[in-house]
Amino acid sequence: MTRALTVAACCLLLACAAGNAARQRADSVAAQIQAAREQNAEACAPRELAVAEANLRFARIELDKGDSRRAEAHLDTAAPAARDAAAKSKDCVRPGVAAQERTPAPVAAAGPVVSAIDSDGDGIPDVDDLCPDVPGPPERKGCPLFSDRDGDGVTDDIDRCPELPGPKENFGCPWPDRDGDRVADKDDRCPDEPGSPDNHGCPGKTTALIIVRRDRIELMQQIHFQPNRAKILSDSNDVLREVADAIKAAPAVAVRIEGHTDNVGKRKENVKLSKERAEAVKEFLVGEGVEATQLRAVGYGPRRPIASNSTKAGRKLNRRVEFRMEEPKQ
Amino acid sequence: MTATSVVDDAELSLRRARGADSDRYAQYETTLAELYLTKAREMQGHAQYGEARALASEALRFANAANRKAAEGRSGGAAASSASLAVPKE
Repeated sequence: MTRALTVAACCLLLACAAGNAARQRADSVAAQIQAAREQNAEACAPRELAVAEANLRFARIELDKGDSRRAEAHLDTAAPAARDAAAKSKDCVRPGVAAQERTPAPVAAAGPVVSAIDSDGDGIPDVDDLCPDVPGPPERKGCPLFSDRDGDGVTDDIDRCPELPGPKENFGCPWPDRDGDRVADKDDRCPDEPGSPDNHGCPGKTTALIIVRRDRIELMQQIHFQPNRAKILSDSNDVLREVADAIKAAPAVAVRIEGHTDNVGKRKENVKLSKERAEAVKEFLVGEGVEATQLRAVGYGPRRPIASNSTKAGRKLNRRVEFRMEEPKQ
Repeated sequence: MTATSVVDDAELSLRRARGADSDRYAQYETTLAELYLTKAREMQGHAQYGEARALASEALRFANAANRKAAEGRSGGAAASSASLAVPKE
């Protein structure tokens, strides 16, 4: 164990040392590039300078990621390119100067070629300005620090709709919605007719929440209660109103409201809770205008499961309210 | 926006720049665009999408700059600006 730790510590130290050496080498290449730039390498040896600068940048990225091997590979390319750039620039003169003196270009003339046009007035001529229409500092090559005006998480430099929020999958633009029904055309089965999201953006056709069978009323959506309480949650009101309408339409029918639970907890308490929940449903239906004599509330607790209680999904199915038709009263 | 789409944009812009003879008029920018694009693809290959996107954005800017410089070089203004260009001594 100790031996393994020692080996690991040695490896770590070696990696750190390699990283430091690479950083020192990167600094030395940077100095060479700077010297070449001062000799006007951008004009005299543009390719060599570009290769040196790009590879130095890549080496630094790799170093930041801790990959000194790949950083070294980039420095191996950058170093000779920087030397070549410096060498070529030494023998390079501006034609105007060459005609008069045949001497190397003075340091004062170094730097990017100056063009008269500077559209955004940021002091960087358009030819060297990566963002010629927007002012920006020289350290960002004339580009501004990018903002995100619409706050959609897609920065303005790559946002095709910088004033309108939109997902990055659509290049920062909102998804089109021709019929304005708030269902994007890509998800809208009827993109030219407004419709509800529940109906995939198509008009008409509402979905029934219950099916009235001969022996029972089947619910398409289960009735929800507060946990461990007999208080009905408001998202179940619609389904219960449909149940009420169905029972009111058949005054001769008697309905048994059955409360069921899973097997978690004490049996007695489950039976009590299921009974209270069935009573709560009865109360709601009576409130909706159903005759109380048509309804009977029963609590079965965990006695009549319809799925296995050993799984979460099964227990969820077992916690339910059912409506069963009873024999007509004589 | 995905790294792939920025890489594609940069590639297209570089192709346009090359078509505008940027290798002659904007060698520095063209070379940088090419190298950044290559590195962006490499990063993408290593599933480093954030870095790939950043590098591809740089490549796109260099390619656009190469495009502009090439256009300027080929236009009438080229004669005036070429006088200020430094060339290797014979």
